[in-house]
Amino acid sequence: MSVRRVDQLLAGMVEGDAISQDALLMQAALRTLGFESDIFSDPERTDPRMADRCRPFATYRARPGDALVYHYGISSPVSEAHRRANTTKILRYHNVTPPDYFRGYDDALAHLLHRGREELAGLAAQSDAVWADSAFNSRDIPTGTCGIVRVFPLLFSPTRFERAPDATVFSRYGGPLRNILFVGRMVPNKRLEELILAFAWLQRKLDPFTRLVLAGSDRSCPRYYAMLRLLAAGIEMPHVCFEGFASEAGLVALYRQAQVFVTASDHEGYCLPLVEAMHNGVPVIAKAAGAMPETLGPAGVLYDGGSPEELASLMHLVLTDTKLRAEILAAQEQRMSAIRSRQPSTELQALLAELGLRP
Amino acid sequence: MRSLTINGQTRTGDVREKLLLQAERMRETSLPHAERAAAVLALGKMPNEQAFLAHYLSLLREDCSVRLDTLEPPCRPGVLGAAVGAVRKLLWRILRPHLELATWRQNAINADVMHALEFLRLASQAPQGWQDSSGLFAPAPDGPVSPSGPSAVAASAPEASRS
Repeated sequence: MSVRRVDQLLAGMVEGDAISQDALLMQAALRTLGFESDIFSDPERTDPRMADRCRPFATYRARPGDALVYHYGISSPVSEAHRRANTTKILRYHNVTPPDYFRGYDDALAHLLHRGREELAGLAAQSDAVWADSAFNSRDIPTGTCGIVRVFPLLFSPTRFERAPDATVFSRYGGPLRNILFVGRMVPNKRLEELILAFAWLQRKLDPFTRLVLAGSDRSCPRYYAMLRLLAAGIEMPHVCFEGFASEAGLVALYRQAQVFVTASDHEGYCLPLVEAMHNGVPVIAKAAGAMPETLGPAGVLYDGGSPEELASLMHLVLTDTKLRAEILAAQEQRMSAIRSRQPSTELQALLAELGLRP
Repeated sequence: MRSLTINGQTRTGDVREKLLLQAERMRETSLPHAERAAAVLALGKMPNEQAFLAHYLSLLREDCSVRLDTLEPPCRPGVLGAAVGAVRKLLWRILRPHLELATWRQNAINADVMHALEFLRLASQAPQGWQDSSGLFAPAPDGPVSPSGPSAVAASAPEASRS
């Protein structure tokens, strides 16, 4: 079937957000294939800096013969537009974080996530296909709800890192201290408290000339962020730096100044910062949880369980063992060659052809 | 640590064992402020936002001051490290009186902010004019407000909100 338009629906558009980036890269690939393609999102959850890249979802008009991709990660009013659309429907599933992580910190958000998980089966059943970021995500789709469930990893654009680094951020993290970097939103499933405690052991017992830099939006769960700040202050760790949201130039600076990237996250549907760190030549340490083993592939360091002291020892090993660092970086570069050589338009063409859609 | 994989290869048998040994040695002396860390981490186990806020403010109340006495300049190993460390310590002694004054000012501000937060929490519990839902400031039999709560300062908040 020949279609003219493949549009995309999002709950919100935010600069630096992995799902928003994915939608923009998909839009570029779809246009390359000859489709017309617009992005529609909830204006209340759209960053003003992204307003010119998308349109309000209320203005979306579905027409038979078109196709619609709904990026799903949380319950939102946008789901209703997807349900009503009389088109070929594709659910781009980015995972819904289990709500239990947020109880006590943000009960309203926990409720939205709970509803998001409840609605997943219905949305999958109403869709012609589900494209999941990872095999881990695809396992959330209840068996028999949708006939076509495919893994289509999150798209990554290396060009984001070709710009000059932010000079202020770059100089802030220069000097004799070695930087341990985390990039991601400050939300409870990321288990940043484990990183802070591990860093406390590292700094007090193994290497005082280190610094933990936590970069990412602090607005997603303010009470959790407040707890993290209180923890760092309570154990007197002045070298835990809360960098907050980083611009693209800021991210370039942070990756260039990092000696190791660490995440103790419990739940990730893909974890784009792992790819960003590998792309920027920073050795990665990640918990073997969620989709992170898939994203890293045969590269980087994966650990499972363990105390903060053990994680501190692991960070120290990767910081100081030059032979091991070289081996990790070589494996990561190989992994990145595979990721960088992906052809989004070719992959999309094949996925759409499976649904009988072509421009 | 149950398992360790480096570049796709299981290293549980060799590298992990070394890490466990090092961690064991580190545990011979505990980290300072472990109790404080445990109290803060308890925030993650609160059943709802109200309980979170109450515990959060109690933690802030205990620790809203800046302390200088626990800070020590770091020192690298070796002769050069010791020499640089000695210079750092000397500088620290020279600067300390000035820092004490700055710290005193900061602590005064912190205490005021803390009191303001207490007032706001109490006010948020009483949407239609202040009511003593906690019972901490119950009027004595003869009438006046009794500041018998967690801090006498907080007792003045309801007075302000009633007027």
